[in-house]
This record gives sequence, C-alpha cells and structure tokens, in this order.
Amino acid sequence: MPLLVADCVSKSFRGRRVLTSSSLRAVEGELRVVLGRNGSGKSTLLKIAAGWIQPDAGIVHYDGQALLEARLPQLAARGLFYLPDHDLFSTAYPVRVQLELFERQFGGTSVDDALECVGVSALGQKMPSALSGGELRRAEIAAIMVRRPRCLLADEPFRGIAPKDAEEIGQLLRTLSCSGMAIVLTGHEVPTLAGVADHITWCTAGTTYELGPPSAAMQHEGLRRDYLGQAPYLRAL
Amino acid sequence: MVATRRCELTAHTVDLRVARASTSHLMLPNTLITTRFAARGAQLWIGARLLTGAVLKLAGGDPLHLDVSSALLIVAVCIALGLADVHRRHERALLDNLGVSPLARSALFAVPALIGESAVACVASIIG
Repeated sequence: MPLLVADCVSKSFRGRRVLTSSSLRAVEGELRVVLGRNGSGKSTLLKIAAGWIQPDAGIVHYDGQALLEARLPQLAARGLFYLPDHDLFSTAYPVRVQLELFERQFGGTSVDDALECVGVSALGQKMPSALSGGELRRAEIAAIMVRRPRCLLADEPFRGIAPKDAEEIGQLLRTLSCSGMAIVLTGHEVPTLAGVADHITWCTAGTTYELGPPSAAMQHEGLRRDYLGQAPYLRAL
Repeated sequence: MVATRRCELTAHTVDLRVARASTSHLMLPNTLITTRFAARGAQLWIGARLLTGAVLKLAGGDPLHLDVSSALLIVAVCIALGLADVHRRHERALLDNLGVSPLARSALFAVPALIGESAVACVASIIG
C-alpha cells in the first residue's frame, strides 16, 4: 500500500493549466522516478504531494489518511521530507548548524556521518552561499541522511552534480529505499535515474502514466519519441 | 544498461534506523530552533522599540509609556518583520521540513516582543 498518494490532482497558474489529472504514489521500500519534459508539471506534482502548494482539485493521502489540505509542516512531522529544486537551506546559518536542527528535531544519522557520507565534511562550517551548486546539493542530500524520513520527495536531486558523484548519491538513495524509505525523484539524468529506480512515472500533457520498471518504461514508444529522443547514449537503455 | 534492484550497502555504511516521526499533526520546534529564531525576534523587537521610542521622543512624548494597543501593534509589526525576514532568507523549506508551522513561526517572533513589552511596561510603572 502506498505511503503517499496524490490522486487525480489538477493545477493551473494564471489561467495556464499545468496538471489536468495527475497522480503520484510513494511506496515504502521503492524508489520511483518521475520523468517528463521541462514544464510538464513534474515539480508542481511533487509540490502538491508534499503540501507545498494546494491543488485546484484532487486529494492527497498520507499514511492511509485523506488530507483535504495537506501542509508540509504537518506531513514533515509525520515523516515526510521535501527536497525542493533549490533553497532548502537558510542563508542565515552555516550548513552544519542547519543539519544540527534536523538532528535535534528528528534524531536520524549524525551530522558528521552524513557530511562524510556525501563527501562534504570540510564544508560544514561554511555558509550555503559560499558553496558551489554541486556542493550545496550534496549538503542538501546530507540533510536527507540526517532527517532519515519515512518518505522523501526530491525535485531534481542530481542537478549540478558530476555524473560520478550522481551515481554515488543514487546508490545512497537506493540503499535508503531498501531500508524501507519511500522515495520519489524527478530529474533529467536518465541513465542515473533509471539505474536506481524501481518504477518510472511519465508526466506529460498534464497527466501521468505509470510505465512500470525502467526496463519496460524505456521501451515505451511514447516516452522514447516525446522525451528520450534518439541520443546515442540512451539507445543502450 | 538498466540495473536490476540493488540492495547491498555501498561503501557508505549507513545507519538504517528510522528517525523520529510524530504521530500527531503538530510538532513543536526544539530548543535549538527556538533559541535561534527567538534571538532574531528579540533583535527585531529591540530595533522596532528603539525606532518607536525615538519617534515618540522627537514628538515630545514618553518613549517608555505605551498603551496596550500600541504595544500590541509593535508585537504585530515584529511578527510581520520576522516572517518577511524568513521569506528573505529562503527559510520556508527548512522550517516546513522541520515541522515548524506558520503559526509556530509567528509565535517565535511574537514571544520575545511580548516579553520585551511586558518588561518595558514594568520598568515604566516602577519609574512612575
């Protein structure tokens, strides 16, 4: 049974309909990936599922409970973590201090272990504004390690990260999902994402299609034609 | 090549404990969050009070003696400034993920201002 379900949600921004009838599921022990072109509504769908924004229609269920107005603080208290595509950290405090807030509030992995795990031990004392895009993303992944949520919704977690590092972090997320965490990721790093995913969801034209495991999803004609294209490195998929 | 499901632990041996999760819908901010944000709330109140005092002094009034509605207005201004500061520092995602609701955020900025106004009122009544 899914831990989190955003069911039949729709959303418009200033008259422009982004989602018409889309659904998202996060299942414990599974790593799911949402693929789709820029502007297809992936991030909006994730934000609605996380309670960051409210849908025009549709409902969010968390842990078996239907929530008419899901709000992130309430969901976070019940084990959800939402990693936005930017600005997880405050600009006011060093990275370590902010990770310690999570450690004190929820008591997951220690801050030192988490920073070491993602290879940014030396950067803990720095302000987020002093980090490069890739370093900042790694520090944000460390926050996931410290928080150790039941359900993780991560919007483009590999953005700005070198392929080798993205592979390592992907394996780390894979390990977390195997420990029982429900994970949903978005992104465009198809080989990395397909390498760690259990399930692919395709977001297009305001709706979503459950394509199943990556091996099946990558053979889907519509996904290949409209999203993957004919890039040589994708043919192997 | 699409990898099959891999569940082995990587070189990063991670502790697989599940972190705490509240069974209720609300979570109180811990002392570390409270002290960090209440300190900012206190700074905002000091700034707002000094500015109000200076304006009152220039207008020939008593900067220490404020009626209740004016004191509450200063508290409201402190809350508004605090929430604007949270927005300016891009702290919504951090606080939301920490389970700190907008109401709790407001309280973190309101409490130092309320304490400060009460202290000033006490001092004013002692001085007469």
